Amino acid sequence: MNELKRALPIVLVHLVIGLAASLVYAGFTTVPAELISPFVSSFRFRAAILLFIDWMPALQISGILVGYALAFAKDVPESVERWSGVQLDFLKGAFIVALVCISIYAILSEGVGPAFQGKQQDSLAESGAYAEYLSVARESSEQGDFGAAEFRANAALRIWPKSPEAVSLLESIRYDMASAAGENAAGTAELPNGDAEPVLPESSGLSVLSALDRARQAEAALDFYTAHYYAMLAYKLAPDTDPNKVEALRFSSRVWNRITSGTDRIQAEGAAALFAIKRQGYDAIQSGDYLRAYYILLSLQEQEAALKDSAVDPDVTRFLEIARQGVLKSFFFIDETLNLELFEASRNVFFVIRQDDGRSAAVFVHGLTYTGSGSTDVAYLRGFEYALFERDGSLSYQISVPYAKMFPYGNGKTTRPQLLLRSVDRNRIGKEIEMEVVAGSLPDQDRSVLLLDMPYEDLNLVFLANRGPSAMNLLDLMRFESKAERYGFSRRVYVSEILNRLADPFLILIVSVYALILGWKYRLGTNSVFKAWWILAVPLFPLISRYLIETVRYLSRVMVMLTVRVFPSHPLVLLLVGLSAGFVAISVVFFSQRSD
Amino acid sequence: MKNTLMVPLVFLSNLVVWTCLVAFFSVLSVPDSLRVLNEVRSGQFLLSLLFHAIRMFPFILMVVFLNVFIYLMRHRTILLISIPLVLLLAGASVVFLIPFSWRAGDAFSSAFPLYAGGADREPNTLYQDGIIRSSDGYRRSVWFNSSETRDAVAPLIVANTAIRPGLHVLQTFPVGRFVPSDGSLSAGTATVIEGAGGQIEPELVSGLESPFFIASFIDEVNAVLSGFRTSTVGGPLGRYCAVTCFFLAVLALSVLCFATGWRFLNLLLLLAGFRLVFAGYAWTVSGPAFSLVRKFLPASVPDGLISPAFYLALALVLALYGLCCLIGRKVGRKHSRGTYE
Repeated sequence: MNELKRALPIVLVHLVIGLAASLVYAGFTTVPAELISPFVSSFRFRAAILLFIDWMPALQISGILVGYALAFAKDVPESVERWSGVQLDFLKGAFIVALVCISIYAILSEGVGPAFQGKQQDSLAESGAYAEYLSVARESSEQGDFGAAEFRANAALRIWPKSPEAVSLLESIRYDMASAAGENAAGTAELPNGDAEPVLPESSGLSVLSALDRARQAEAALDFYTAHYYAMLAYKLAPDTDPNKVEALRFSSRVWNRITSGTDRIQAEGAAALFAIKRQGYDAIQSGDYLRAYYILLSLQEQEAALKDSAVDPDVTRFLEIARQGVLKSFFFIDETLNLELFEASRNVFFVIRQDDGRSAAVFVHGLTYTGSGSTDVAYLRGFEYALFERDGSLSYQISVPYAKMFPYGNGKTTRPQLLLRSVDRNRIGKEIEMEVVAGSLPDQDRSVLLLDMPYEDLNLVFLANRGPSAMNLLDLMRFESKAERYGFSRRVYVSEILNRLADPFLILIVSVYALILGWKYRLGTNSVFKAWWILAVPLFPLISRYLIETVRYLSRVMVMLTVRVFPSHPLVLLLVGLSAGFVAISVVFFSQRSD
Repeated sequence: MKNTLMVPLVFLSNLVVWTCLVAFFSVLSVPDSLRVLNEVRSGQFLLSLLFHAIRMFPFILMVVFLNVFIYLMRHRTILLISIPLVLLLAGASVVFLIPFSWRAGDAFSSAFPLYAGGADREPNTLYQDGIIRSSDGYRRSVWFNSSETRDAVAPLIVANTAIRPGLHVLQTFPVGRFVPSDGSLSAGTATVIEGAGGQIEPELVSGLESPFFIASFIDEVNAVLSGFRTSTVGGPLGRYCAVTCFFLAVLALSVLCFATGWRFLNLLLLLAGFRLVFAGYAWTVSGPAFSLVRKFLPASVPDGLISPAFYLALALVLALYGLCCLIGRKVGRKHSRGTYE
């Protein structure tokens, strides 16, 4: 193992110098012009690491080549015959070094590399967005649209919080805004915070009896609306054969009579007009028209807030929240999509869905933004376009919507992407963004919600696939390969990519052993002294190693293409057999070496 | 003595190995060959290999001599025999083998014009259904079905991200017609998308481009070989002159095998020198070196002689360097046991 002690430092020196050279190179290379200052250092650092990962196999091979060529000069016995045990010891040592380096390389190339590449793209995208926000903010400010200008300047500050340019612009906008407002500035009534619990206790999973119990508790507390709500819930939950169904209906009638007979506290307060509106809102909830209920109750809440002496009605707050939650099952608010473009994870995504029923769909998304909502995935799709084709290829319909909100729908095993296609204003009735039917027709009830015929977990793979197979890690490739053609991607491409990725470590290992052979054949003479000026030629070694490994990779890619083409059912087995044979052959060649 | 007698054998074995390797790499650099390979048309692929082996033969010979030099560097031989043997082989290569390869290439081209690039390419075919294709940076298309004759698709869907904001990216066409001449798909009279068909599925060859250093080296080699064939100054002798001078420069690289005391370094210098000899060819034919020399030469000197003169000069310089090294070592190390000790 003496030779290992001599060779290992040289391999390490190669890697360290390679890393240092990568850092220096990235430090002096021009970064893209649009990149903003806060991102420059991290961009350069990641560029250096990516460069190092790219060169790492060549550095490792070069290290083995030079390290063993020098080590063999000192540690090889005077006479070594073919098939000697000494060779086996050398191979073991080199094998350990190569395996350790390859393991590190695999982690870096499959883990760190894709992550860093993604961050590089994000940095560039955010830099572009920053410049755009500032530009739009200036434009809006000049046009007197100070609200939009302030919004954009704030968005720019979210990307670069200490940007002197953005801070100065924001101050200027606010100053102009204040000047323009002048004496016309009027206070705006704030919406009440609502000290009362805004949401009714969780009602999902309630049994008939527990709903009735809650109704009775509410009645006892003279909260007749809540009592009626739970009584109706119990009525809806109970099957026809359940005697509690009748009891729930009776209970709800009794409570409703209390509401309408004016014995509840609202009437006692004398706000008859507000009471009538509140009842309209409640009726709308009961009839399932949550959107109407939402606007009625929101308006009521605003009216109550405007009456300075009136206390906030907790019923209104509660039912407003119920209505809001009901609305969010079929709609989303327009303001949810503001500023989302900045955080888009994918852009210009195009794929098809070959459905099980024989129909096919084409989907295009301009931009995709993921947002977390508790434990549920939520994503917003900008510029969503969808075309559905019948089995015979005829177009059923084509729709387009500026934004769609997506989340998984269904039980844990078979969730599918559900898309909400209609967005509404949070505060004003009548302002809606609906889909545009570009061609064909579809029923009214399908205009709000679209369920894509694909597993939800495939969606992320499809978005990744749009960046090309090289942007996917090995695990994603393996998950996607079998279903690629369902979404319009060539399966052979993904199989080839998987095989190429799997083959790569083996190829590096084989070339490392070949480097060992070269190190043996061209080892420094026993009585020769390493001359100082030879150091100048050292950069040639990684270069030649790079040429060597890239050539081998190229040949391997050609072979993989042929294997996938000729033996599509078992390409992996054949590849592993081929690589194993290559490794055994190169090892045998090493054993067959002898001293001159 | 045994090592010395092995020199012709080394030459022949390397000739076989490098003929196969160079032909293989050369074939892969041609897209049509990739199609043949992908469609597993082995007969056609072998013919392509043969054509490229013939075409690249002068270069193969140079590589073989490089390997002979490496053999001489690694093994003790009787120089008084091995050096004349190498020169004899080199002479035979220039006088007989290379002209023979030219004649064989001409015969092959007339017999199989398709492989020699003298005939029309095979017609474009429609790519596989159901796969999204990119035709340029902005347009992607997909079609679900195609006719039996593969000349029509239905439906055709195009995602065009280059359109103005406010318009729809997705465009659908009930039928698209395939135009084999340019591989495009048209709807009505308008071409909807290009790159819907071709010689080979682009996805299959997207990762199969030769590494840049191989591609650029093949380009440089092709330039040299083409230069040999088109060199007509002074009739057929001009061609021999060009080949001989270039060959001499390559042979003179052998001095690099003894440049330092570490054979590995010598090997690298030899490879680097070989690469530079080819890389510099363009400079001597029409590049800055050519222009510089042309200024000082009378107009009566033909342009075609300048490049051979460069390589002849390079050969002489290297030979002089080798001679100096040899004399220096003889003087300095009278009692040394060998070149590397």
